[in-house]
Amino acid sequence: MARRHVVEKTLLDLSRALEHAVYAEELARRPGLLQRIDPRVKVIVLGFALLVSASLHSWITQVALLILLVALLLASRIPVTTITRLLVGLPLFTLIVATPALFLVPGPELFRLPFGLSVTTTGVWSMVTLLLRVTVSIAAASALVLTTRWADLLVAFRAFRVPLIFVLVLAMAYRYIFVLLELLQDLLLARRSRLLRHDGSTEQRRWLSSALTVLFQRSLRTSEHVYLAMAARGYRGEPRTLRHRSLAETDWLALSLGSSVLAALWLADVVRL
Amino acid sequence: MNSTAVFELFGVSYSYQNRVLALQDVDLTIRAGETLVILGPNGSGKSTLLKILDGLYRPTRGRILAFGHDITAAADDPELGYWLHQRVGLVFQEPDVQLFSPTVFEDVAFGPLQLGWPSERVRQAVATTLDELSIAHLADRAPFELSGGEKKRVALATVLVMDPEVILLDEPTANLDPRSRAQLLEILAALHRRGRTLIIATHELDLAAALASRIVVFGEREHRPIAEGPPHHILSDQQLLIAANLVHEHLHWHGSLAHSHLHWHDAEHQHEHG
Repeated sequence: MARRHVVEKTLLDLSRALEHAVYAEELARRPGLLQRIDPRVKVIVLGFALLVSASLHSWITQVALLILLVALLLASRIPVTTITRLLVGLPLFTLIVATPALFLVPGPELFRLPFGLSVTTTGVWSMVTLLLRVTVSIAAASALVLTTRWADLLVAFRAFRVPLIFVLVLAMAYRYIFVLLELLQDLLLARRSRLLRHDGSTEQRRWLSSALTVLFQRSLRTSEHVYLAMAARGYRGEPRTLRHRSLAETDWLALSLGSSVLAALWLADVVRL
Repeated sequence: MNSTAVFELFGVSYSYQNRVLALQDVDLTIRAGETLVILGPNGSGKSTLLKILDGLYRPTRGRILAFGHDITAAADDPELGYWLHQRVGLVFQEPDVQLFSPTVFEDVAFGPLQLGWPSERVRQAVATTLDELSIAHLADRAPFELSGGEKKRVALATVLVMDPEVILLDEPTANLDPRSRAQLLEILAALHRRGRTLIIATHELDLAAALASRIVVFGEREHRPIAEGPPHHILSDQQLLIAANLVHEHLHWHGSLAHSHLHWHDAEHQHEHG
């Protein structure tokens, strides 16, 4: 396959970024188990799951927690391929980082390797524990992000007293990233449609820097117009938002059930110790 | 027609960074209940005029009255601007700048919330407005998931929900497919029937023909009105339309017959061949 140049790669990455965003919104709208639960409850319970995972010592309780989270993802209609990609693909990077632990953590020797290296039992357990914790953390974070729309996550942030201006800036940054991504994609496509031959990397980089200048100017102009659009609707520097709705019975049930199961896992781990 | 003036402009001028002239000595009166179409080519100052009427830009010269109050300084006076924005709404040409919230519902709710309406009233008003514009099914969508026509309708909803007396629209039918365009025209005609004052900036003659109760033509070099009157009077004045760069002579061939006629874009046209 021909080597892709920086512009081609950027174009491909932009398309992927837009596709991922649309896919994530689509997943979060599916009629699954976690999608029905209030985002505030999900933030509390899945945040608690992260804390519990970090404090568990036994691999059995870690695996139990992981199975529970995967079951929740499946019940939320997240495709198996997506779950596998996240829970196998991402921890592989941790494996690379954690490999030195096999040789560096002191303990009883398991087997010997050339160059005087020896793998220790405690080293293997350290690596397995780390891998399990990372996988559980990814599963918990995925259960939150893949079943909650970005807009609902922002509402949850506001409920937890995250400063409103911070939430607004986040919301607008996410909103206008798409406008600018689409513009960049159009610029790239317009350029590609007029190219008769492959140009060199230097030319491509020069073009990319001028395209980024266009983007910067456009973002400045957009920010000015967005401010005018806000002012035109009565904005006077202090944004006001809708008050949160109270939690439904099913949300309270999910909150108590989720917390109880996590507390039980933590207790089981402590008792085994 | 109600003859109360909603806007009175006296010698209004505006230039960007004191260098690029956008409006020059504009005198204009806009009356309650009329649908005024500001017709002009690109760069004639139409959009700038709408932003001045909405108190977003301060004129570099001249004076403006809205509902009898001097609003010349509204762009620099938040309280005056706030008062004006409760009565006048602006639909921007580019809907993306108007849809800045994570969902359609929150975007439509933004204006009423800034006006201090209680949450329940806001929810009810948003639901009613979305329903009226047949976009209730979009309430939970993110703006980047909407089509161009849907964005335009949502942008209009963000203004209509505040129930303003005057609605300013900047090129409302730009980049719309025929069906979305027809739907939008119906909505605007219904607003006119309900007594709203509509001020529409456009360069599309068929939009002016369909909606205007009065047309003001802006000259591209003059940056001020060069003619005004009822639609049948303005739209039948070919010399005026050519001078204002709103139509142009169009030469083309039908088989071996060379033939030319006046032509404008964004609209269908019919003509006899002899």
